[in-house]
Amino acid sequence: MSGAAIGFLRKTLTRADLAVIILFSIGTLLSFSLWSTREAGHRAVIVVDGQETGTFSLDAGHTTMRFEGAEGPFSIEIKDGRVRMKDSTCPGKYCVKTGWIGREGQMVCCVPNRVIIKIIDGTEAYDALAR
Amino acid sequence: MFVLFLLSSSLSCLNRDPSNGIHRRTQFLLGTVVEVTVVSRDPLVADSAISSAFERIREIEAEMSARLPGNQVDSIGKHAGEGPVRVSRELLALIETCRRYSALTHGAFDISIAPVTRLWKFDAPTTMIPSAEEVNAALSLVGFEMIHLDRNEGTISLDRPGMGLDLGGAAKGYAVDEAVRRLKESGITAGIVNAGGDLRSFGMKPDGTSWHIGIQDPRHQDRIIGSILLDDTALVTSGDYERYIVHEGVRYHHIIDPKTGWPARGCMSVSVASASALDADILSTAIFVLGPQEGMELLERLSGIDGMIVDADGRVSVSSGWEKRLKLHGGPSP
Repeated sequence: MSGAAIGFLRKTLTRADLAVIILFSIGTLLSFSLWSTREAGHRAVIVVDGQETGTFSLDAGHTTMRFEGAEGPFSIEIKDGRVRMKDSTCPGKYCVKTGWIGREGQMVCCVPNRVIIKIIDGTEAYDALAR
Repeated sequence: MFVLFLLSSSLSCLNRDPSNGIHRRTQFLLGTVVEVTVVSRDPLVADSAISSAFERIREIEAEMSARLPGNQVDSIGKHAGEGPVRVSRELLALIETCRRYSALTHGAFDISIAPVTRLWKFDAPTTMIPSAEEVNAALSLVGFEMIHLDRNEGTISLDRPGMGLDLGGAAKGYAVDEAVRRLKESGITAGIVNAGGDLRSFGMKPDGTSWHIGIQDPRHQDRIIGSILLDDTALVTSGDYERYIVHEGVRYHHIIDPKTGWPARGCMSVSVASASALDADILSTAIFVLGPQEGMELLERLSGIDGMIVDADGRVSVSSGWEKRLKLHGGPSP
């Protein structure tokens, strides 16, 4: 910014104006960061028969959880930023065979038990996965 | 004042449309999870269009699934060897398309495979491998030349009792095409219909860019083997990892070679892109059965069709039309 412009601003803006501008900037930056934090996070969403049963962070360490599916119980395991269907009552066990997932948009599906485990981390690397 | 500004700034962020005009819904249909994504500024229009697309897929599943007794496909099988069965124009046209691809691929794709696929119990809790005698007996009932169509009468007949039709390699692709048609009729200009990985995209994303599609590594669900930007294109992958059983260290998967009655052994996965999901669905199965060399020759011969083959040893080959478009992320890990 040239010296003439700075001089012009000094003459035009009062201290109160400057305070308002600075506060507005801080407010905007802070609120954007709060908004971003809420959207981010590496999470697994569990959906049973169309109903969201829970959302779990994949960065919270090693854990195993048990849920009730449409046809029977199933359990998931979270470890090292990934999740898998650890066990399910379905006959073919394709959901268990799917193994670990950890990328945005990836899914483990159990059709007989009507369960979807989906990764959401806000990165939207792909719009869809061909598998 | 600070709090006031913080509040106003926060509200301005929260008011941003979190979907960015993209709306998604999933349903369990066609034996898999179907995800419909549409671009629309109006959530009500999006919701209505997605519901209509799901409804169309449900209609097709009811009519063409081999798992649902009492439908037209079931009826054709029940009357095999007895004479013609009247079917809808829609099913007649689909079977005609399938037969045309059977001829083109010299039987590598064949919907009369039903007597063999019935032997394989991929969904059973215990491993079921059919005997060679069972497979050979069932194979005698397989052959697309034994399917007869009468366009004027609107009928289908199968030559021998015990024959049947399995539209598993085509119905999903057809349903995806029909769902896209429904979305367009509902005023949607951009979106993706993804039926368990058999997908078709149309239009552009709200930011004016093409849809970015990842292709799964055939040996690791959590890895992507390649990615491509698509618009107005269907992409279907057939892989030996979708439905399979491992018996005494051998992987038996669901893509059966109609010539042998046993799982085709040349490939791990085949991805095919085409304007229509039906064509891509059929060709991905056919090329998987043909194997990497013959399959790539077919890919190169057909206009408007491109794709990628991962052979049984993990070697990746890409059709010439995809060489500059497909971004490879490394071959599959063992």
